[in-house]
Amino acid sequence: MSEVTEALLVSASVATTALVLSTPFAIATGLALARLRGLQRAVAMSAVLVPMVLPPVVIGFGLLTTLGRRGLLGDALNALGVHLAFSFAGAVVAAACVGFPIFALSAKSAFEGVDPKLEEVARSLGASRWRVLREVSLPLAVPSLAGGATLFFARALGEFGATMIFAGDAPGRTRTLALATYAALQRPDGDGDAVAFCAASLVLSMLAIALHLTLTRGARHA
Amino acid sequence: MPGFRSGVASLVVVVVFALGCGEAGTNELRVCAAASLAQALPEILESAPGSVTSTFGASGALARQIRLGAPCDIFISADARWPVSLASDGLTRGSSVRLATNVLVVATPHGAPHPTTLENLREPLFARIAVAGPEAPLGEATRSALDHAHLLSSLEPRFVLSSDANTTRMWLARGEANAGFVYATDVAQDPAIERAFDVPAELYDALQITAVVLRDARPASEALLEVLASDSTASVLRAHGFRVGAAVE
Repeated sequence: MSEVTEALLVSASVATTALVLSTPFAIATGLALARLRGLQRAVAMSAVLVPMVLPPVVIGFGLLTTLGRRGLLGDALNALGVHLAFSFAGAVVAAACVGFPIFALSAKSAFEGVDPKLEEVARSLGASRWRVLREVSLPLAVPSLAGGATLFFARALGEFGATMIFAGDAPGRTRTLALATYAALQRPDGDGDAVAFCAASLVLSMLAIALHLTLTRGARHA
Repeated sequence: MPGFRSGVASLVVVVVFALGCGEAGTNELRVCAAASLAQALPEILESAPGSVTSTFGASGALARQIRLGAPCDIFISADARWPVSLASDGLTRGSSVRLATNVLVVATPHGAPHPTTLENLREPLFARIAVAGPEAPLGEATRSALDHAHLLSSLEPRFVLSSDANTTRMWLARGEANAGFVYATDVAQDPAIERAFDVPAELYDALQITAVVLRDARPASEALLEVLASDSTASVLRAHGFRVGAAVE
């Protein structure tokens, strides 16, 4: 397998795994943000937004400090046999951290975009809160949620700083296209490889954007 | 809207102009240096005549910026390939000068058990060995040394690979790896890691620190290069863990 294919596969599988694992939490967070009011909302919004504002290197260091072997939760994770640092799982966690705020915010506006009258009607006809969510709010929010998911995927693809610090740069496991490009640029003869990695990144990003535009075509709040 | 747009445009122009003015004055020399010199260079420049600004980064990143026109008078590289590459592109003036060599050492987190030889690293105790990627000179030297010691294939599964020397050092300092290959200068500047032993110099190509004046450099650059290659600079470099002069083979 060529280095480009290898890095492309690592990038795509890290972003996909991160997306699949984060989806339920991002939707739940978006729903909570859409329903909360006042101080609670402000606090929750700040908590969700922080990873988006922090430099990814800081996130990587934070992950290492909390989830590393000698981190705050290190002993507990070691006891469970969970080792996140320097692994594929670590790259997934890093990608999820930077992608999550975008998905959660899109989910929030997706739920806010659902006409409250439709939900009220369902309630007045005797549907439980859960049933309203499942059969009215969620289906109406799906196009915008899909838009959030593709934005998450796109952001996860571009992750570099947090991955570098927390997951390292192991070819075939954590060396994503971004890390492979950085590595190639350290060599004087690395220009050709760097261009190939950049081209692969561009193709993957265009696919993500095309998917985003296709899925959000019917959404009111993309 | 046109009013708003031209407002934004003029704001951008003003900001760009202001940033441009913030750059070095006409007599100030600009040194771009490898990150391993971040501690030593400011100390060296204190005694240099005139004012000098310095920028630090990975040698490869700096060299690429220089190739693309970054304003810089002297380039100090921790990777001997880059000055050669810039010279072959016609971007240098005069030949490059070797200032020092860095030493490859095996280090451990503070207070952790020390290996005493490369062979020692095979013990199960050293389950995670921090190693820089092969693209960086540190990683290349590490691989070369282990290869010459016939240990590369047996130790490779234990590597935790980072993209650069700084990340390797940070993982060691935080105890995420049990041992690791770093520069002697990293050990000298970070009390959270300890030198276990120096990797025998015959096992890898010397890690040279070279300085070169760039083609479009200001006239005083050659004089600064002389200061950088002087004895007083050598003593500062030695204090920071570099090998200079007689100790350089």
